[in-house]
Amino acid sequence: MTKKRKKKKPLIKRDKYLLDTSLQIERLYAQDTEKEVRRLIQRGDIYSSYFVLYEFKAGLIQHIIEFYFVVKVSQDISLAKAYWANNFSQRGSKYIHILESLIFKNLDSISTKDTYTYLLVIEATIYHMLCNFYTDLKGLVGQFKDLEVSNFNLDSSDNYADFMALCERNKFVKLKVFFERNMDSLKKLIENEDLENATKYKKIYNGLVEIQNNLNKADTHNISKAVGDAVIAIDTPSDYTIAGLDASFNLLCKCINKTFIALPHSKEITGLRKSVAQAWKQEVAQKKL
Amino acid sequence: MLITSNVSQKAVNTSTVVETSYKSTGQITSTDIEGLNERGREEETTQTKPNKDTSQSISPVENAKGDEFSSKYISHSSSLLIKEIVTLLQSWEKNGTVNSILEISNIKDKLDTFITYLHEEPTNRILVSLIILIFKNNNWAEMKPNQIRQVWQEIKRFENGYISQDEVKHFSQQLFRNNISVAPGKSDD
Repeated sequence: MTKKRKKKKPLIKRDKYLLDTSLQIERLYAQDTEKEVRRLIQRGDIYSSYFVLYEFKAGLIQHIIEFYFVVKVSQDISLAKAYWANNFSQRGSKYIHILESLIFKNLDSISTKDTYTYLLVIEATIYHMLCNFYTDLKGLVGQFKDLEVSNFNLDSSDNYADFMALCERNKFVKLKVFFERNMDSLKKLIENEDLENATKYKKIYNGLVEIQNNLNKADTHNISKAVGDAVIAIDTPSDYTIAGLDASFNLLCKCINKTFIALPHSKEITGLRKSVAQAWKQEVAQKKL
Repeated sequence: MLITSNVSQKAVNTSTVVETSYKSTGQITSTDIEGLNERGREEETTQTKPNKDTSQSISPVENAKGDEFSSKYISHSSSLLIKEIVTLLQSWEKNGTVNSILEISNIKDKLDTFITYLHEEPTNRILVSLIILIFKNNNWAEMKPNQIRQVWQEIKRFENGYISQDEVKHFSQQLFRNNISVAPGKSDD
């Protein structure tokens, strides 16, 4: 009697999505953005890249750790915030607002005199952000596996000083070798007229042109920082779809035959802007009556 | 032991404040929340009285420095703390938030006391700080029974006093997955 062979079920190929930096940051504090990510998970597997992890740590996390030290040194939360507002960039201030949106629901909940607890809470929030960068990810991909900043273990405030020293030594990622390996993609981006003419891509485009003219420029601070989105697009494997909040990826991906899916920014947050504008207009109208 | 007597005193103070508030209205009000927070601020101010000789306040950390706690002691204490918090959370889940102000207040007290001698051990410190994140803002007032259940089930994993890095990471990720406390906005139904 012949045995029946069990038919192997065909493997269902799931789509692969690579979450970019803006999405990885916003999902931490906006629940409707996280819901969008969960919808992606129903359709496929989610990944991120070593380069996105670098931007996450060297950008958001580094700024928050720096703020941690400002609070620790000053022992005065309100003084630390005033110092931060005066001495740091717009993006630096934005990161501290993100920190506080994760800590506070009600600003009155933690006394501004209690720096000890505030520091503990910052430490726990940094830990929470780092853990949840990886939540539900199948893995990390890309050509930047060896970046020291990405690989640095930040499990507690015990490592913050070493991390800051490392960031000081690695203020940007050197990209000469990366672009040497990806000259075709660089050429496609530069030859695209839409990219050349688009105002919002000017900084990226000019940076790429400088790299093409002189590859050594890819190892300079300003150029490296300017072309970050292009690097993420080129670095993403061709069978992945980049998922992000930043519409600039659309054209970048189109130039190099990669796919992009734009997720909406948090409606709770964007909707608030509209509600605030409506609220003060109503008040003004009522006062006139 | 000094720490034990401080906890007992705090529990007495807490019950007096909370019971008066609860009995008068039978419902949780913003006054109750404010009262808990206010009492917390008063106690923290008491603990962090400025040193006359320096411009910096003395934190519980400073007070506890110099005391070396063995890892066995910390592990044993962590185990006791976790068991007590799990019991309080189970009671909270069973009775609802309105009827559990005393339990919630006791959880806050235990976390405040425990953190003072955990400062040297980063993994334990992070775990307790993550739990503090739930109770140091007002998100606890909106937690649903299934979320309370999720929290005590996750915290129960640490009952044996062995708190590993991987398990704390998992705990953080479970808070995130279940929309518990650390992100703004409304939780799922």
